[in-house]
Amino acid sequence: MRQKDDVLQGTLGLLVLRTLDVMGAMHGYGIAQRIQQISEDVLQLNQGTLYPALLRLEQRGWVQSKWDVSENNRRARYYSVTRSGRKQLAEERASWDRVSGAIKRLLEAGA
Amino acid sequence: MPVRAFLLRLRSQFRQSSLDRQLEEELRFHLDMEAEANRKRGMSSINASSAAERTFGSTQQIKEVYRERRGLPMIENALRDLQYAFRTIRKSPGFTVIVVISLALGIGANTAIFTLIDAVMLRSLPVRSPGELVSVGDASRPTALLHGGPMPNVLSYPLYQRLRDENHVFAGLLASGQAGRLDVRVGGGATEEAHGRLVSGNYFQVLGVSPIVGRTFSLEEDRGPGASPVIVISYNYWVNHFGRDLTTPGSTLSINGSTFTVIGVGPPHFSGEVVGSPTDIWIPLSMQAQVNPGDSRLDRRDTNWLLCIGRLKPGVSVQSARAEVTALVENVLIDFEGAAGSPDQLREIRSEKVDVQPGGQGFSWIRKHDSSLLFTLMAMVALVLLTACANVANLLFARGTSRQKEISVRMALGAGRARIIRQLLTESALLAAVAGTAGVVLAGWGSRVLSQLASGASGPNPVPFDVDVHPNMAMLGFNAGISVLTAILFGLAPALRLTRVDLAPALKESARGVSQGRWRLGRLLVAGQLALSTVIVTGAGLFLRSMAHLNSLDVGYSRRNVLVLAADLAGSGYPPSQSSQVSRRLVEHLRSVPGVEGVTVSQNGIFSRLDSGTDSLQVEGFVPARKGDSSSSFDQVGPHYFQVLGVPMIAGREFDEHEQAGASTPVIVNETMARFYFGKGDPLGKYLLNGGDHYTVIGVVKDMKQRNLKSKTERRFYGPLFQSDDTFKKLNFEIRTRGDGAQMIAIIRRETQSFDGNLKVSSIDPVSVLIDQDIGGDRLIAKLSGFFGILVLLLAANGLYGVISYTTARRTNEIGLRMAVGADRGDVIRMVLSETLMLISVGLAIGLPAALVGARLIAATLAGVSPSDPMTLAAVTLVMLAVGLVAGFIPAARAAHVDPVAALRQE
Repeated sequence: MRQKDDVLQGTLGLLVLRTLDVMGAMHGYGIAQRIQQISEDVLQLNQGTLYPALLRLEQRGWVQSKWDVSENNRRARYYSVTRSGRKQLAEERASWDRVSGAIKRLLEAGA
Repeated sequence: MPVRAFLLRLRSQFRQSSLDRQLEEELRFHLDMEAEANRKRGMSSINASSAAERTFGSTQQIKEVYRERRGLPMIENALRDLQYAFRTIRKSPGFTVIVVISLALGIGANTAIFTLIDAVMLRSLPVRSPGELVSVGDASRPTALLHGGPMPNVLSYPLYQRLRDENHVFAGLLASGQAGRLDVRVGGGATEEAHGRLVSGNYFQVLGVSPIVGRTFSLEEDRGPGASPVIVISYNYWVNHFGRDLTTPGSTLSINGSTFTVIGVGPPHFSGEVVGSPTDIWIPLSMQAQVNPGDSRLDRRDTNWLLCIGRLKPGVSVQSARAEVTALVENVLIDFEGAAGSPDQLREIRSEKVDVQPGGQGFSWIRKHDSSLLFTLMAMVALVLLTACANVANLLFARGTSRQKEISVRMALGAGRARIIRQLLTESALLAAVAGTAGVVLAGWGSRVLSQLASGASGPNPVPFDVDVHPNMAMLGFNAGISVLTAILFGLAPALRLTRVDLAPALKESARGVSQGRWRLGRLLVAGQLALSTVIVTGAGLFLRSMAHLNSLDVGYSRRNVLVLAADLAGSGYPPSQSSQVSRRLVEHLRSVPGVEGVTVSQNGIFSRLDSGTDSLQVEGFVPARKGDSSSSFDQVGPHYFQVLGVPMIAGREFDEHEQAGASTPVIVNETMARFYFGKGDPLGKYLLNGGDHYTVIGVVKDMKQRNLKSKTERRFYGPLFQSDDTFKKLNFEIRTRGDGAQMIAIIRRETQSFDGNLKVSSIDPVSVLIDQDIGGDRLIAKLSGFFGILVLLLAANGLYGVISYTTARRTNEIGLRMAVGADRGDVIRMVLSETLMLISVGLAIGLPAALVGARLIAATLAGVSPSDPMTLAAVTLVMLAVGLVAGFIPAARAAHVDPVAALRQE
């Protein structure tokens, strides 16, 4: 149970870091919208799980957060990626590419 | 977990509520935004919000996960559980008090008894590497002083010297022996009694005990007899008599009239090698004759009074030490017997085994004689604690039912079962911790009281039971362990059962499915409680019957009308030669006191824990078949001894004032002895040989109990007091009073003072009191088992009442229906009571056989009652039935008053 959770969280973390890297500071709702939009609703995110993932990234020091005023004039928490977050993103992205490439090759070779 | 994350988590631990608010706001914001977007897509606002919540998932679960990740879940959960537990416990103070009291009694009693067992049986002496020590001789007889032939298990000084010098297994071998009564005067102060041991010069070196002030003995102190008037005092004695004065070494004090110089003070906590009897003063063996004037033992091979402790050389095992010591002792004893040794004697010496045992725990009389008492008590209080646990488990259940809905709701909301079990167990642990802490206090008090009760410290010759019962790590560890165990025992079953919920019916009010299970476990617990109670109550019944037997047992004379006055003639300053004259005059004096019917005197007294014996009696016309056949107890008694006590003579006459010492000493034998040696023949005029003494039987007296109430009357003969050359330091005067002896004690004391103000009276007690002290252990067990028996009956009644109330409450509808179709109140009461009876029967069916097995284990401590005593078993069955029916009758009566209409309408 915990393991499956972690894999998911790890992937989610990658998506969040990438989103923040491209878009700059965003609030949680914005991140959720963006992920769903870009993935063309393929990744059906259980939106609530975003928040524990954000907390984890913040605890690792990969994102930071601060309270700001949103587009509709409400207080919202804005997240942005940190320098070590960018480094982490690059690493994770490289390993993701490696792994997915390998899986792709495997699947095609087996066919 | 990376350090940074840990620190953040730790920090958030202290900002819980602010963080909670922030998360709340963040989630709210998210949901509002989503709902807004939904509205823009054309949903109604209600649909927009609920659709937003659906895509978001359970906020409750997110918060839980978020919180768990935010803080340190272990600590946080534990703290939260603890807070929660505190709240629940505070909410029901009545429940808490009952639980804590019953558990504290159980835990406290267990801890108290454990403390005593630890002190007497488990703890090592506070010396260097106690595991290397080996005791030589019968470690249960540290105060033995036996005259007669050389013995292997209590050593004479010459035997010790040979053993010390000729063995190859010990790095050092110390010897110690009783110093007898010590009258000590410090400076110009009053004379006080102190506990002393005579020890060899290497005593402190072998034990590895260093003084905190001054020095200890060296081999110097073993040199010539009388040449080393020095002593080492214990830390406690130093504190109490010298006020921790650092200049104490060099000061002098007087012991039994001789002057000794203090050379050192022992370390704190070290009170000698005799467990249960702390030593105040250590005196070199070489000073024995100075401490015991007129009784020089050092050069006597036939005076056995020493025990040894050796420190094994590296690599030597206890077995090889035993082998060498046995061989050495045999050689030495054969040497001692010399050419005079008959083949029989030599064979006997060779057949003797020497006791060589691990000696790190020192010597102790009480270890051998009181351990069965302690283990019986331990078993009893363990059962009591089990019963208390079952009861508390039941209470937790009963209360848990009211929380069933709360628990079901939380589980439905996604709280894990493990999480809730942890929470329930935290509550149990908190209760157990409170009870355990109270238990430590109870135990501290209880173990002191128990050790006092066990010692019978007020008797004329008390066996001290003076062990260190201060709270120590062993005791606290035991207490903590047993508290945890208790919490698991009473907490786990309810926690498991309460969380094993079929959610749907529990949330609906009907609650059948849930309660069925709880009801079954509740009944199981009550049946178990009843069974345990049956065992304890049976034990209590047997002990009480045994006690009643001892109390009503015919001892041969009146317990209440005979007083025993113990006088210390030597301590009063009379020279030995005058003791007989003074005694005669005191007898005359007391005889004239109004209310006194007669006065006599004897050496050992009655139930004074003193006795004399011989195992080499030769009897005219009797051929001993077994080894024990030549043994007999004896006492020396004054004129008209039996007439004064009221014990009839069966044949011959008893001693009078004009008893003449001739070539043969006249003796009186008891019935048992006459029957054993002479059968149907006439004992009068027969002669006996005891060592060098020649006796002639002049009378046979009816058996009487004078030393041990529980065992069969022993063979015993009586010689006339003052006819021998023996001098008496202490004598016992038996005074028969017209009325209750206890009323006369003050008068007798006053009369003794007016007879001679200097005469030291150690004690004046009615025989009934002396007997009570003698069977102190039995009385203690009888009292405690009675107390615990009532306690567990109350607990069991409580549990039974709870379960029956609960089940009848659940059956209200059914009862209403029955009454509606014609059942009357009697039927209802019968119905409920039959359920009660069923539970009691199950309890008895398990408990009675268990009790029979348990009773067999305590058979040795019972007197005059069989362990399967039908009377007791019948009484126990009746008591259990009565208690159970009373507990069941209240709910039954309540059920009988159910209004059928109201009951049916509830459905």
